[in-house]
Amino acid sequence: MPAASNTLENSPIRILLIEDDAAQARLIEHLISRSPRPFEVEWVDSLSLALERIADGGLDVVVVDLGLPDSQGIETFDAVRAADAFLPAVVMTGTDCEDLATEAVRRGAQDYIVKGHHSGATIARALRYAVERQRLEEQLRQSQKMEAVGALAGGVAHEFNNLLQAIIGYTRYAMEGLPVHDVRHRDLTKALDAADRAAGLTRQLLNFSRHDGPMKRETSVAKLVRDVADLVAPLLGDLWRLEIELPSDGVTLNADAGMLQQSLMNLCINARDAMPDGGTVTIESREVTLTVLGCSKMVGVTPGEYVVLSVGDTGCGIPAELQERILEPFVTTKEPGKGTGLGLALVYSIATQHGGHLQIDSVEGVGSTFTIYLPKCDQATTENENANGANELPVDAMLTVEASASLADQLLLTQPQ
Amino acid sequence: MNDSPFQVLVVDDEAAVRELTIRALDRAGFECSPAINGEQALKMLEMKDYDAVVTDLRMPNLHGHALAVDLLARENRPLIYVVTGIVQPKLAKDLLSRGVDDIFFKPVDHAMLAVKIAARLESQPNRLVAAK
Repeated sequence: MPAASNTLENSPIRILLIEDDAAQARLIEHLISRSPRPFEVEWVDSLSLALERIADGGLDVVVVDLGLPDSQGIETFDAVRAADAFLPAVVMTGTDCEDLATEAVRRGAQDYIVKGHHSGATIARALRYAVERQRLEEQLRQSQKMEAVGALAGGVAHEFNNLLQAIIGYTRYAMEGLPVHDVRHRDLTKALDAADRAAGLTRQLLNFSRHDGPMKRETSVAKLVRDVADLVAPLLGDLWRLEIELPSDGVTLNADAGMLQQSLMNLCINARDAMPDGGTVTIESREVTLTVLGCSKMVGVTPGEYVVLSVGDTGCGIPAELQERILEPFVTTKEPGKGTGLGLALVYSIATQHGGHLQIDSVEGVGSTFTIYLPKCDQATTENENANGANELPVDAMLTVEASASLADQLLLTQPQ
Repeated sequence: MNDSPFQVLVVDDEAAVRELTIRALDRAGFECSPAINGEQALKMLEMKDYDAVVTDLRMPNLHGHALAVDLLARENRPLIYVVTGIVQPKLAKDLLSRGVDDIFFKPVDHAMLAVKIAARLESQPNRLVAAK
């Protein structure tokens, strides 16, 4: 899931415990029952029941004993993994089978617990971290996918501009000398219009894949928001109301004002389009301090002082299954010709290029809020802090060495430039 | 001052784009020569002087940026116009701050390009290209 935050901080973590030994299952349940963040434990005693339960969905993590009546060894883990590759799994094993547990971690288990060797707090932490790590890994996959699409788009767009140049140029020549009423003139005009639209799309693609990064300078946040409000107001008819909430004039960011303006514009237009029958668009900006916990859900984001820019609507909300894909390029809910599916992808890309993050909060039937987190410090400091932060965050969260090293490496690779 | 047509070197690896640019500039009264990459352009610049060079950026055998930098270092340089399909503000800023005369992003309105080049050349008191 890219940045959807539908897992609330204090909502219970739903666990499926797959364990054929009833006493062991009760012990685990008892051990974690005193954890500050509540767990909801469901218990099944065979692989076949577990697979049925996993298929029904709604789980946050599974804890699986590899020795079950209907399955033994690593095959048990593989079957659970195959049932839902995105459901984090923690393997449970006896002291004599740690090799097997490590093999499971190699195959994608988030962690393992050795029976009788852990306190309730340790197990609870392993489960919580398994859930968080899975989420971070999914965000990472998302950002890698965006990067790949961006590189592809950039390469294609360059060729495309050459082709469009030829199409537009030769069409113009072909039109010369044709009377305006000539049907050929009209046809060629339509071809030119289409080529112009294609050129606009190519430009957007190039914006999206721009690899030379933002041109940062000191930017007044209040002025930025006021400028956007001035631009957006004429686009909102009588049906929509625009509300803005500003920080004091002294609040500044080291950022590319043009890019941020573009981001807020895209979000405002989306907000309007999410409320075809009218409603309120809210642009809000404030300063926040992100703690280690607060930013643990965002890849590449480190604790510190941030400015948030958010755009909210009172629309229909975004269904959970769409939230997972909404940041991907070319994903759109708008009618053909009305949206390219690049608007949000661009906002996401701009946020990450600034060392920040885009968070989506959406409740169906109530509305959606898109929040851009931007670090307040200058670029140089951001890079240093990110490099340290990427190490600190997952290592602190890891119980197994293999998983920590690989995730930390991956996180370092995706630091914003 | 002399009345011979302005000499323009058009550098682009894409044949159709090169031909279009030349057609538009020919029509505006320039005399154009084509080059298919930066390397060929440098060779042609050794053989003869040009009033202006219109170059693409991304090309095999010497990128347009390198060509522009080479020309900017010359004492009596031709006007340099960059035409590019890559929108990179940092690159554009770099080229302009080094002294490139203008940058156009593809798809380019060639008639406008021709007008701009002509206006600049006509306002220059001394032509680089000697009268024949």
